[in-house]
Amino acid sequence: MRKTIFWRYPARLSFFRMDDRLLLISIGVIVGLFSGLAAVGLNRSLIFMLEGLYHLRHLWWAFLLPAAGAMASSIFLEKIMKEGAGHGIPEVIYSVSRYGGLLRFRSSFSRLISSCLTIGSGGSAGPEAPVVMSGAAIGSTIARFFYLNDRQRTTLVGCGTAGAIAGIFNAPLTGLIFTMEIILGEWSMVNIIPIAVAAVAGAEISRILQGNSIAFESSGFHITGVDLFASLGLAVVAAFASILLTRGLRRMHGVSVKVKVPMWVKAAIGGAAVGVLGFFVPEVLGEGYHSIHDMIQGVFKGGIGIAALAFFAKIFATSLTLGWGGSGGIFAPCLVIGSFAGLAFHRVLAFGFPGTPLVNEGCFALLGMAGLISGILQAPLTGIFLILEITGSYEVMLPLIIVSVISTTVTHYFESDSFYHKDLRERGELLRPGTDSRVLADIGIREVIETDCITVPPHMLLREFFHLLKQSTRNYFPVEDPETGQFLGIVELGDVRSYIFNTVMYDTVFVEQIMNSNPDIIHYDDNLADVLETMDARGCFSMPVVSNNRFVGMVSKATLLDKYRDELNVQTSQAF
Amino acid sequence: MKLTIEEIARRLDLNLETLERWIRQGRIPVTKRGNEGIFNEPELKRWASSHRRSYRMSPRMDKNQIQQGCVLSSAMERGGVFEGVQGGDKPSVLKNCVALVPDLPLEFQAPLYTQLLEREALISTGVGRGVAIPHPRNPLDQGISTPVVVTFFLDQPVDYEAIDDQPVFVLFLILSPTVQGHLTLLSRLSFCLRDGAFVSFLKKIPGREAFLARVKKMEKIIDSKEK
Repeated sequence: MRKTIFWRYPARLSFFRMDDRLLLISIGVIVGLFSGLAAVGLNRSLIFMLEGLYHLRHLWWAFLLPAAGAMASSIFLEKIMKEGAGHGIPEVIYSVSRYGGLLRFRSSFSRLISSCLTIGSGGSAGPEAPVVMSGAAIGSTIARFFYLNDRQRTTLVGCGTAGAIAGIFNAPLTGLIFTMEIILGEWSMVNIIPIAVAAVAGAEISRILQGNSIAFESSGFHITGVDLFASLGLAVVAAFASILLTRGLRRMHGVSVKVKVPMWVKAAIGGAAVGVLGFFVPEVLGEGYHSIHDMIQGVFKGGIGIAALAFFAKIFATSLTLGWGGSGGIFAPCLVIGSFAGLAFHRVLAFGFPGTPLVNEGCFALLGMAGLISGILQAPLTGIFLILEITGSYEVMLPLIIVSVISTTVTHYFESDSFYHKDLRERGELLRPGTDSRVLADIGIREVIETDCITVPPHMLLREFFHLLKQSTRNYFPVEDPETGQFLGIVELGDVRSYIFNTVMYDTVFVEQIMNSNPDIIHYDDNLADVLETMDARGCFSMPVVSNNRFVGMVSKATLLDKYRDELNVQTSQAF
Repeated sequence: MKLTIEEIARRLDLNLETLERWIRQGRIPVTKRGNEGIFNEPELKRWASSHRRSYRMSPRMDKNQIQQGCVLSSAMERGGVFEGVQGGDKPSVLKNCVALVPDLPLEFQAPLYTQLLEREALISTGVGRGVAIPHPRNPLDQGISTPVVVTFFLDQPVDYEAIDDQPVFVLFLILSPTVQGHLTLLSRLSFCLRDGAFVSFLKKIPGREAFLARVKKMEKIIDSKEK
């Protein structure tokens, strides 16, 4: 029986048990291919929906389209798939850090469908985050299919996200860097190689199916010193746009939480509002790649006013779509907002300083995109590489780096965490590898418990207690009811130290008189970080663990340090 | 190589829960099948040494087992009993004693003698009633592998600068590779010496067999008290 399914246990081959890199690389290729396929699939269906609905855009009730789309996507996610709204990337990050990248299989297609409904009908959101979620879920599912362990599964989840990003943008490097910078949060050799291979596979499948085209082909920019100087200003503008978008999204979410109607009604309200907005500024609808194209080519019509209006309208529309329960990511909106910001900035400069030899506005639109991505995600490398790869213009490298880095830095002053990490941080769920919180989150109470304590009954005389003291190795003595086994309190050596030589007290004092009958206790499922916090607050070094009213052991800081070091060692060292 | 998970945990001196989590998380080169862990021994050893762990081949000796019962009498049996040790004063007695310690390689005799003198210079080990317990200040890391107590009955009592100024007629030389072993022996020995009857029994200079039998009896009392 086992022989027939042996190929599903590749990790058991002794060759791979010692070094699983080859295994991860080959499975990573599969994952990259599938997630690339998912990206292409979403891309194709978006185009299909846009084309199908195109002739309806001119009708007066067209503003209801985004409403219907958002409603349908919300109902689909909530009722049929039973998954939360949102773009899903924080969930992927949390799952990677806490559950070794365990994701449900249905996540691999649920967000694809819901975001397709939202965006295809005109909602202002991006298809990238749903594809990332789906790629991650594909990686996780394939890892589970082959019975891989948590570390290997995490790598494959990374492969999935890299393949997805690489597939949707035709940008393998960006896929790799996005995964390392945002999803995994660590740069380790064992991970980089399979993920890079998966990114290549994802990009390759998208090239085969959609042709090797650079999304926003552009070239012929001649950067001068003046442009470098101007890009400093653009970086600041992009940073403030990032802050505006982040706050707008959160504010809108806060408003929508207060409205007490079912989720799908909320999504419909948000969608309708976007639809109305789209009546006046059609650029805000959908993912908006068409307008980016125009801007980079330098053929965008409309002056400063229109560009600025579109900039704010897009921020508003994105907040409405995502804040009110539509499904999709912020990648594409970031790019659109960034290019509007760059365009508007360029026009302001051209208006204010006529005659200055600036590079054309397409270049500024491009830099604006990088600024927004770096600011919102607080991931400068992702911003730089994304723009490099999707525009194919290497000559903008210098201002690109300036804008990305400064935008990240300035945004960081106002928003301490990136858009993806903020919610996680607030819930205390941002557990980056090798950090204190991650180490503590991984160690369970059961692993640090010490059970070699001697329990004493409450009616024990001090004399007998001291007798016991001689043979014990520990400083804590839990007091238990001899009949029921109930935990009554604890005697610490420090409590009785002053009586040790007082022989008069030997036969007059009972243990229950000296015990601490109301100590702070720990339960099995307590969080170790909380336990340590309590210990620090009370200034104690050990705490008893009590389960079902029974004493089970002690947790002490000294043992914890030992375990902590082991864990840190194991977590930060390269895989064997 | 195949072993149960518990056995691997014991060999690595790891908590079972931790080991199982590490296997699940893929942090240790062991794969689990049922209740068994499959691993490559050199590989696991390499992993252990790079992670501040030691991989033990043989089951670990339980610390408590060594200390349980008859520690003193067995140490005395190993050390042996010598009668009629010559010497007119403290240094010469100690010098003769060191030469008699069984199984002590020749090159360690001189250092041991120096160490004993150094200890005596601090404060005399003559604990009174004619008994002295010479010992080096630090545990011996060379020369002996197990704790021993060597008993020397002197030919004639010598002045030992003891706390009660009585001349010393018997010496118990305690040699232990660990502090723990030293303290255990010392505490048991002092329990015996607190007993007046025991000391007067010593004064009669009993033979080896009678002496060891008496110590064993005393130690039984200690053991029963501890329980």
